[in-house]
Amino acid sequence: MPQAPPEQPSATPPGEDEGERYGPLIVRRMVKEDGRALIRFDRAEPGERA
Amino acid sequence: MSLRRFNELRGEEVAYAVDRQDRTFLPAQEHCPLDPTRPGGPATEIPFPAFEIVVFDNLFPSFEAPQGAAEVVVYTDDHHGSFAGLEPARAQALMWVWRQRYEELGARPDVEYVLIFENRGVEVGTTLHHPHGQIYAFPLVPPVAGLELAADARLGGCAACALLARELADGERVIHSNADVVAYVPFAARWPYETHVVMREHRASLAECTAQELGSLAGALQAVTRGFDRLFERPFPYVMVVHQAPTDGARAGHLHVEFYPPLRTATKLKYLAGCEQGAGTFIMDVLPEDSAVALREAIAGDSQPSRAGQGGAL
Repeated sequence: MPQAPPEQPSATPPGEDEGERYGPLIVRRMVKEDGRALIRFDRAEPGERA
Repeated sequence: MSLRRFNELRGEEVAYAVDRQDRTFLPAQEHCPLDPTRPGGPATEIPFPAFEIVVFDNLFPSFEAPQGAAEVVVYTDDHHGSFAGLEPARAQALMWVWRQRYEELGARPDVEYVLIFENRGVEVGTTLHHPHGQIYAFPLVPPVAGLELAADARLGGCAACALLARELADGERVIHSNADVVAYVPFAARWPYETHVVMREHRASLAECTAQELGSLAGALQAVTRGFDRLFERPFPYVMVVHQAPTDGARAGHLHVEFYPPLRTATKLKYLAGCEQGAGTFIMDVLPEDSAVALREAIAGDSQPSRAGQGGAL
């Protein structure tokens, strides 16, 4: 089912690392204010948002 | 804070995570913790205005370091989406996310088994409507994985390989297949529409799959879940569990995904009652062969519009 595009491209917020490649994905990590880990996964190829 | 006790009578561990008693329960969308944090809006668990897939430590963990982990996997920033309704590219990306988490969590010395799962629908206890799954990294090999390993020993090799060969030879319960994956209602299903989605080749885990196989797995899982939604023309509740090899380095497995849907009709649930809980024997109201006919037809009708694609309404 088609999905609405994101409201705006993902930006790198303060505290998030530069990311590393994993297969077709870019994996970016950060530690939330309460100390819990958060990982953001994006498609690596521009224009191929999953 | 979680702790474990050993239930001697049953020979199994019980995990206690009493903080979960106060976890967020079916909030309205404006309070959904899995929505993106939009400019000017309330802060959620995810501090981005938009995202593709996000994984984070569960605020109410059933397992936590140094004895495991509990994570939330948010499939999309669309509150009203569902796994079945994801764009195929996003579903394929999710397979890679599962694989990355399996590898990273499984490499930890305190983790012996990585359980990836989704509870969809209030009928199976979901507490958040936003499309998401969970990952529990176990500090032990849990009983179901142990049963599968025992089946390997009983059948003298990989049980999943043997059972897949039987299902393919019979064919009566196969409901969907592609180049790399077969979906069927198992011969001795314990739920009316229980479905197993099995890799054709022996792959112990997602880590052993090729990119094509991961794509095929995503496609098969979406075909099955869309068929579920079509079956009764309503969002179809299920428990979806990814079965893989333990990560203790000593034991084998065969990657497959099992669905345990609780519905036996559009409006009636299969309950685990006296016989199931007291004796451990499931009593079924429908034969797997009949369920397979219905599911095959539902999946085959996938090209037709469905009114039940949105899972968020559950």
